[in-house]
Amino acid sequence: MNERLDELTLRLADGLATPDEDRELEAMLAADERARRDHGDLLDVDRMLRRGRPPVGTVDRVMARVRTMTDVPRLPARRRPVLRIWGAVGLLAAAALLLFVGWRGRRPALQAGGEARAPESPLVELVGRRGTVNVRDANRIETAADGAATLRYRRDSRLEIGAGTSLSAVEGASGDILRLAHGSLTAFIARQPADRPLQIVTAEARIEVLAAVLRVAAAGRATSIAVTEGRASIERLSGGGRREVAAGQQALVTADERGGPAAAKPEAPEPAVVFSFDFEDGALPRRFPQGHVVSEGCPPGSSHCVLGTLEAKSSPNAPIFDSAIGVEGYKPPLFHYAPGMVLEFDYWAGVAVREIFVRAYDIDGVDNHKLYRGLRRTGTWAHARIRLRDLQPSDAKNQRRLIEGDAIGNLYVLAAGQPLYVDNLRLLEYAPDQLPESTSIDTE
Amino acid sequence: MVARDDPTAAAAALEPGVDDLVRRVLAGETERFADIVRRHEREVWAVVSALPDPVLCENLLQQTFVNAFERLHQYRGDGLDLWLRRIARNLVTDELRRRAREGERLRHYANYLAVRFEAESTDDGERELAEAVRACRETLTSAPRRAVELYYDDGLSLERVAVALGRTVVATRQLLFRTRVALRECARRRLAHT
Repeated sequence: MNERLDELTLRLADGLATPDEDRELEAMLAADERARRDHGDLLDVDRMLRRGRPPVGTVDRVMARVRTMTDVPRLPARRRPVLRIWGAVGLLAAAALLLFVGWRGRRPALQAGGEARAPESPLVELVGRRGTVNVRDANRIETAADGAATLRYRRDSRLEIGAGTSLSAVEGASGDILRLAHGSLTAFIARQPADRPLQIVTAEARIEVLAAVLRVAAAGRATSIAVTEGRASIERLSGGGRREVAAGQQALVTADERGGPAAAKPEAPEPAVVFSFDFEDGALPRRFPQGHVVSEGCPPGSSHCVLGTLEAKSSPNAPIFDSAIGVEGYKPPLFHYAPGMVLEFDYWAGVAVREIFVRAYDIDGVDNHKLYRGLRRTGTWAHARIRLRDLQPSDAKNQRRLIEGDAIGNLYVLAAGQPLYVDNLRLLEYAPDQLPESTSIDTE
Repeated sequence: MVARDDPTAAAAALEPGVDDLVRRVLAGETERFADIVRRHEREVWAVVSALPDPVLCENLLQQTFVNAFERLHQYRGDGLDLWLRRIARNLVTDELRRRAREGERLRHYANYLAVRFEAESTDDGERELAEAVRACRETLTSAPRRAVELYYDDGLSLERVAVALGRTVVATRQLLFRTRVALRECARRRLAHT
């Protein structure tokens, strides 16, 4: 086995070979049949490994391109006679029918007589998704009961689409219109042109926004809004006047009442659940590369929790073991970072454990971000609440903190020592004014 | 016997299932093409993913289906998977030729793939090879397995794999190097016994 040959072959496979290395490889291959076999077999292995899974979203991307094509395929008019005369009549009839249907089914050109152009969508980009999310076309998003999505909207705005939501976007004459058929969304709306407010329309109400952060929910013949920043106005579609809703206020419009929108009792909105694991089914979820589900030693009322996997760390004096529990996802990412995110979990750390820490891998920043906390109490169940905005880059030279929208590939809870039990691991996203004031790790 | 160039007869000879989808797309149901993409993306990916450039692979995957959509009326009903793979192979070959002309750097790779594509169309050695590599991959221990998953399945760069594993880039490169060479030797042993 020629190690240099293998190295050059894999640099070629990885797309890293320089022209000099390419020439060196060529010389090796020209001289030796066995080298050619080793080279080919190694490239075979690399090729088979690359086969894996096709990229997520291929169907949507292909269909988005196909829909913009005006010259759709159809059966050609040219035919050749078939040998059996008695069958020819039937086949001709079938061909005529297919041609007719095919012609009727052609999509019209999007711009008559001109170059085909896809209609511009105000929904700029789908930047994150969880669970089942259907992108029906460039303008329509549907999330299943387990789904959620983050959409980048034009003019630096963003929409967080909740589970069970159907939403479409169109460019209206007097501004963009979001049609919320049902479900909920949190909209971070950047400044819109003064004469073209963004409109959010439900079955009961029309909401106009120039710049605000607000949550809108449409369900059961009612529409509610809660404004956390800026202001918005809401009016009942069936008439009855308009109401201004400022930051910290809420309003409700129901289909069965008359008059203007009613002020709703302000109450703290529930944080959105990004992910939540209680391990009660006794199985380690597929996204956990570290951790073992156990039934012993769990908190009261819980049948299962997770025991950290031991990770050996090199030390000049003695082996050190970390306990690790991690959840991960790369394609698509586990989640996209937002400043309101808080990781919560219950934990039990052994008496020898002096420190617990959380680590998140930022795919976009290519760095781990960590937060260390010393433990004052061990040997008892406690509750941790970690604000992800408090995490620091692990590379001392890297001053880049997590930025909103960063793709996160993994999230670990670790303890310097053993054992570490964790239960009820949840990532929540709070509204800006509801975010806990600080990270806490010792609360019962 | 159906005349090969007779589109009407070919349409009539199409089998139900995938070929029925083709017929419906040709009849104007453009949205049914999504079902064709969904059913065959894995097979097409097996061809285009041979290129050592993930972004290019994704582009060629999409382009294969877009080209197929444009030429769907030329499909003769003789196996949509084979037809799609043929389109994909042509795209890959053209791309490699273009790049080889530009920089001469991928000439080896173009030659290698030309031989493999030729073999693939005549025997089922590819399937045995794929099965051997899959089985060998199962035998990997924790760290090499994670490295392969992150690098190949999740498409992370070497630097990102290193950070995700908590190792240095040099150590990660060595790990991936040793792992792939070990997989080659393992696959050879398995294929020798089949």
